[in-house]
Amino acid sequence: MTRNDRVLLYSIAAFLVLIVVAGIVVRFSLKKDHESVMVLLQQHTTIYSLNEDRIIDIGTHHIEIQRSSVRITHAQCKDKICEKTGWIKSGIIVCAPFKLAVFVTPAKQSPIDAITY
Amino acid sequence: MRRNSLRKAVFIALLTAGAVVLNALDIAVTMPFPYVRLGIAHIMTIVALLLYGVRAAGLVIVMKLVLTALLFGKLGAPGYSIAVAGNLGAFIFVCLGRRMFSVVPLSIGAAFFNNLAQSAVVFVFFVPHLEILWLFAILQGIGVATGAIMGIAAKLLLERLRHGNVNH
Repeated sequence: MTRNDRVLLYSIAAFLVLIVVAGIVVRFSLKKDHESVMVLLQQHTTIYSLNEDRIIDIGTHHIEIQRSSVRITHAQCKDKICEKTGWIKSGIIVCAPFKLAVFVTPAKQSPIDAITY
Repeated sequence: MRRNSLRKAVFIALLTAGAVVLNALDIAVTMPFPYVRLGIAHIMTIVALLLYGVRAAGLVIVMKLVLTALLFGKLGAPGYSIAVAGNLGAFIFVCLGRRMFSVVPLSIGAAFFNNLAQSAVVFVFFVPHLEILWLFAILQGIGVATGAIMGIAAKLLLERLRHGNVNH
């Protein structure tokens, strides 16, 4: 091990630590505002942020957003499939009788589907 | 003089053949892990560089890239530019650093710059999202480990070659 070797290895190690820290920061800061809730009610679309906790009253249902999850409560239909779906963090809740659909969608969608090497 | 250059040509050809075979082995072994490569083929590149210099190492790398692409049908694939970028990044680093660093740190640095160049190309041309920083961190960690192992292997091989009959 010469002095140069040591300098090289230390700088690589420092860079690695930096990258790991940056990776962690990016993972926990960026991911939050990347998703939104899209409420589709009889062909009208409204978009809410997944990160603001709120309860949306649309008359026939309450759509509850809490801690990055969504659920439907107070459904007026009789089978209440939408209520039974429970909390979702991704995917879709549907209430067929009222033509209501709640999607959790990524805010940005990549134009690329997949990459192979 | 002529005998020496013939010996050199044959030896570079042997190193190239070794690099292609080791690369095939590498691809086979790392099949289950999509982004990870061991980089065993670069034992040969480093040996070529340290025995015969920059031109020989460049020849081995270019031949390895072309032959591997032809063997595995990857020449036109978009991912191939990533492989080329990685090799280029590592090659520039080892050419500049070959007199400065000893074998194992040189190999670690080469692995590091390989991943750096690849990630840069991926970020700029394929996935312009900061999330790949996370993947990059994991890749660099593995890269440094495999780079160290390949460096040790290259060092052992070089010691044996220098002790043996290979004149250079």
